[in-house]
Amino acid sequence: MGLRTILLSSMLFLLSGCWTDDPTQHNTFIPLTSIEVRATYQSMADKTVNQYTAIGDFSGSFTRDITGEVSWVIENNTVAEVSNAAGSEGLVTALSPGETSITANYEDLSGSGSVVVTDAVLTGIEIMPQDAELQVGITQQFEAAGTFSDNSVQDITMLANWESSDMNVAAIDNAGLATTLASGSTTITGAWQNIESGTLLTVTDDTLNTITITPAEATIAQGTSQQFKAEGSYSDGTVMDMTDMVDWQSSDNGIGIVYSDGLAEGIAPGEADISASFDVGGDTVSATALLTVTDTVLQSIIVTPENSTIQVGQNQQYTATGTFSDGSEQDLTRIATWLSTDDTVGIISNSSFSRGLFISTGPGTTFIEAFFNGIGDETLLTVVEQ
Amino acid sequence: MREKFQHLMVTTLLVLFLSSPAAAAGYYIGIQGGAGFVPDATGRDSGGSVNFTYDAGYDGSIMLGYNLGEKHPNIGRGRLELEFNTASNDINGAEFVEGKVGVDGSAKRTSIMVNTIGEYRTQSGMIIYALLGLGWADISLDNVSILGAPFVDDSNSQLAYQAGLGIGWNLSEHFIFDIGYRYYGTTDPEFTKQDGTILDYEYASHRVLAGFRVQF
Repeated sequence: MGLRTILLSSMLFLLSGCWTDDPTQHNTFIPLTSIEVRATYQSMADKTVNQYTAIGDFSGSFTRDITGEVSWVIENNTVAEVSNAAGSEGLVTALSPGETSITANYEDLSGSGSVVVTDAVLTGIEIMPQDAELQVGITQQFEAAGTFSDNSVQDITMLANWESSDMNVAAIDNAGLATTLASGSTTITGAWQNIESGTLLTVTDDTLNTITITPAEATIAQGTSQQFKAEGSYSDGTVMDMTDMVDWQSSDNGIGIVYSDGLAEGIAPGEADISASFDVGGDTVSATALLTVTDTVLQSIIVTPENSTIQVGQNQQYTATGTFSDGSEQDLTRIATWLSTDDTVGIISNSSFSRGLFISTGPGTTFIEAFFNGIGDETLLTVVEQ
Repeated sequence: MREKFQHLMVTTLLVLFLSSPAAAAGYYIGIQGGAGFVPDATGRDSGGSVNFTYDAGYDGSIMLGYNLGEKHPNIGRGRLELEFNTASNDINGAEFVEGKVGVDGSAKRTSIMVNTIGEYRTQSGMIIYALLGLGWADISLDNVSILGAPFVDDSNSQLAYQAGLGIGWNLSEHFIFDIGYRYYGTTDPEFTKQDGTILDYEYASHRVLAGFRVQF
């Protein structure tokens, strides 16, 4: 009895000290060798904002978003200004039409990009989501997409003034984040530059039963990402996209991290559970998906559709599909950098909610290019008159 | 973890002390050598945490002790010893958020411990023992560099503890061969990095040792 107790206790004691938590520190020992400056929009309308991002390449070993670590400088401060304030680093505000350059400086390294401010004026606002039906206790991010006189589209969520017609049913803050308070209906309005748009928000008292994550299992290469979505099933049978409402967590941040919008990024080979949970009146409803990160290497990218033709005024969604060293394929649309070689024909979006979407502005031909980790592909697009 | 440690050792010593058959009493000296396996250690500073990994290294001890034998039945059967030990393990990697990179340098330990050992002798003459020790340790991170950049070169003294199990055989009346395992830990040392900031560290080792004792 004695020896068995001793041995069992010893094993438990030893096992309790055999693992460590995941590291939280970034590697600053590998030198930063280059900085790439990316913009959400290639051009921006006057008085709008455009988020610029600095991506650091650390000796080819890895890349990391260093937007908050660099010092941002605009060449011509009469065209635009850039923020270096904590939380809004790299946010460019257009002051007057014109062109200038923006530089991200980090010690003795820098990376530059162009800032193009057009004289386009706002012609319409689209509020998303439209006619939402939510349950009590839910937060919903409303977004305002502004359409401008040059047919460009920009996110003006942060610029718009937001109002709820019935603050007892739902409240909304200056960033467009609504919180449902009681069953009923209210109109959510977003307004900017004397143009406003509204949408109906209906609040019900149904209860959340389950959450489902899709995909339930995902395999991605190290350094790439996977968008997870969470859907909630309510007592009345309705199913609602809760991707932006749930609390996303990874069981192992050393293998994969997941952001608040459900976008998971593969850090190192291995497996991690991705969970989504939602608190309803003290009760938590949750679900889990499996993320497998492999050490495969990106070998090529294919942009589709290839060699297509559209009419002026039409939009086209492009997809970037990566092929990896193990033969697997992965959708890289959301993480690739997109470029249209002739912006008189149209622009292609690099914004989070419309990445890869080409918006035509005039007739002609342009090459649509997508890049990721130094590998890219291009395809010809012809835009013809209607 | 320290509660588990205390519970384990009290249980072990009680079982062994209360059931040991006869053993000779007297002073002894001993020497042990073997391998030390340092588990992954987390270093923390203002920038976050980094996990360090180690190669197996050497571990050695010399001991001076007293075997209680049957002279003190009110205490029990076992030994009380003073142990001086030293160990070294090369650090082979540092794991950051972005992955693991190579590290040069080593972690060294010099320590003096007071150990109490409870023994149980089987009918075949084999000695089964459990050990509990408490003492002082000087832990040093020597010339540790990450990708060639100097990181830390400092030492720190901490309270040390260990617990272990082993078996021994009387090769002759006064000569005992011994093999055993010891889990060794310290309170968390702090080191001053090359940039002057503080690194909160942790140190432990799985000691696998073999050696001899000569009893007078």
